[in-house]
Amino acid sequence: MIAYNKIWLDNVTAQASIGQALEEKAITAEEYAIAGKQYPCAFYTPNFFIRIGMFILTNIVCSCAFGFMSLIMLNSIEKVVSTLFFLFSMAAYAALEFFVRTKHHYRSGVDDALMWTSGGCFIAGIAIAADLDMSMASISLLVMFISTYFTLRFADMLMAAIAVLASLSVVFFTYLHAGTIAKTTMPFVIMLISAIIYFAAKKISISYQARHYVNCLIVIQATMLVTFYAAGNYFVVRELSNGMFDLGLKEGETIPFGWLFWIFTIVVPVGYITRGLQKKDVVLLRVGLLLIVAIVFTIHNYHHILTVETLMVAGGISLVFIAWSVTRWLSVPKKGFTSAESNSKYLLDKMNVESLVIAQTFSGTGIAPEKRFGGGSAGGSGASGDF
Amino acid sequence: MDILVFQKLHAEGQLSDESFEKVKMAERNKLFSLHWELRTVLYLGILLLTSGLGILVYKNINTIGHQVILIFIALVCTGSFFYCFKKKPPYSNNRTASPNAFFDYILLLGCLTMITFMGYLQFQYNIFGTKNGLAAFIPMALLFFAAYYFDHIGVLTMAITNLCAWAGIALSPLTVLQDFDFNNETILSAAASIGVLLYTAGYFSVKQKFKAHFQFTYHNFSAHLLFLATLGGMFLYDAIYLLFLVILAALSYFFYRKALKEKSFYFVFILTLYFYIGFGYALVKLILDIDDDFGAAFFILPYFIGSAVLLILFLIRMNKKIRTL
Repeated sequence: MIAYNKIWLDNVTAQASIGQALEEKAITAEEYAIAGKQYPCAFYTPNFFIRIGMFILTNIVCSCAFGFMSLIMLNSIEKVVSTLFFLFSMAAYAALEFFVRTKHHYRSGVDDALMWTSGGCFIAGIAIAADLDMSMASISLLVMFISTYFTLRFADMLMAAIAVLASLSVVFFTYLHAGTIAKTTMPFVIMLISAIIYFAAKKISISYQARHYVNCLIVIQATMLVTFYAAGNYFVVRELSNGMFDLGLKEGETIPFGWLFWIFTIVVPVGYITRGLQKKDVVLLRVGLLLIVAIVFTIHNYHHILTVETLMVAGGISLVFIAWSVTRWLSVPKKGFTSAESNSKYLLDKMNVESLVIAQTFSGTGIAPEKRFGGGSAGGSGASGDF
Repeated sequence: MDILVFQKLHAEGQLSDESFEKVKMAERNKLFSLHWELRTVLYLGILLLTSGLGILVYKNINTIGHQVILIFIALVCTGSFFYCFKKKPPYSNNRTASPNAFFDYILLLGCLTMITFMGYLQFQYNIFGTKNGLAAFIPMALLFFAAYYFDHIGVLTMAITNLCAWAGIALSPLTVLQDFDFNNETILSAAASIGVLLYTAGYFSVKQKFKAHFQFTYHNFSAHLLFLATLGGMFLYDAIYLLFLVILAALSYFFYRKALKEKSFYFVFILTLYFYIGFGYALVKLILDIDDDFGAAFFILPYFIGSAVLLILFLIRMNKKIRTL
């Protein structure tokens, strides 16, 4: 099913293991060199920058090619546009298979771009053929089939997430037809299905047959944890049922069983974090931490106990304090936990990336001088004293 | 780590018994690292705290409460700097290892609260006057000092963005294309001069061995500013855009040489994309000047298809070339 050379895929994981062993100084450098040769792999996987660059460029090629084809058929474009999308989707898919199988591209940016183009054009083709008149359930079903296919064939993580989200969407829009009972039980149905998919993904991910899909399964787990929470979150349930089922709630009015959803809102993330720490499960832990934000947001949306800025200051202080005390507490590893980095190989890269993050998030903090440039002569010469 | 891999290697005799034991040991005693979780929490905390304080000051600026807030900010700021002065490693012209993971972030907190504090003083009491952009210059100078004194690349990037802000350029990595004002002559020339200045700063960092590891940050900002200024010039001065194409080519070649010398694919990547944008713009403009009818599209679309394919091949080849250098 998978398009890539399976032995190479295994070798990629093996190489990673060997590299890690070298970093932990468990094996010697000679052993590392010999072992590395045992696991050859000829995938073309460039670094992150090239991947982005090739993704953009492939998209340019695709959209210009599409534009060129439409230009040629300009006179009858309305009749052929759907066929054109199909043909284009097929062509992109053929190119994708070519790059993956003959050129051995593996996460190179070219394959990503072709995959999205092919899938997107296929869906667009069908939607236009149906005169853009499709029910949500059938669109979701279509998306589900296509993304599932791409997930299985190319083990793409984002496609995996889309596939499970689309299947939830299929359930949502189909079950909606059941009428009143559907409206009241919808959150529980979504929660149930999320839980089923989550546990299934978890179970499958340890099996040997699924080893090439480990990352997809991790993404699926994380997505399902989020949807499980969202389905029970007070804000989501209230606003969604208010908007979609015309409950006509006024401000301050609550939904039936509102207390139950409040419990879900607060308990679920705490449960994730606790369980994640107990089981040393990174996915649970990180999703749990992320959802703390959702708790704060939900409570703040309905109960203005504090103003936003006081909340930010108070939250900021407590987060800094928590991080500080846990780091201190774990400075000597306890109960299998550590606050130290697991490897330091990429420290320099990380520092530079980190500095970009800082520049991005804090660049608005500078004092913006109003209408500074009267003459334009200063040009920055004043700063030369610093160097 | 996949223990099966090592089992196989061991069975085939490529892994000594001792190493195999070590691998098994490492696997058994594996620690669960909370490093990134803790760092993110810390970072978020500082982000929330500083922006919350900023809003608090802004909202309470005319009430009695603002003095309490100000004192609080001053306390956070001095507290952070006090901590940093106490914990900092002895100064050196080279890279110094930060004493702990916490240190970097506390320094960041100190710098950010300092900026808020100064901004407030300027707003309320106008202590730096209204001339010469002193209000932006002083925090910037202090940030540069802190970056060098405590050896912190993050603070250095803050100082550089402040330098740009002082010159009137809004610059942040993600929004640079939206916020960069391509239609303002003074801003373009300011961007070009700061670009040259930063390049020189990076050059001398290495040459004088004075915080040589700051070079990448300087040159990165410098390259983006110079390329943006050139592209901006190209868009702004319609009549002589071909001249700017020549400047762009020269600039690209300059950074190309530098990238090869330093074996940095990153610079090849950005110069390629900037040059591609500039060249594409000039070509499309040229074609449209000759024929602004429908026929132009028949030249332009194939050009983009062909050039993008060539560019992909170019990037792949350059990547290989730099790796084998």
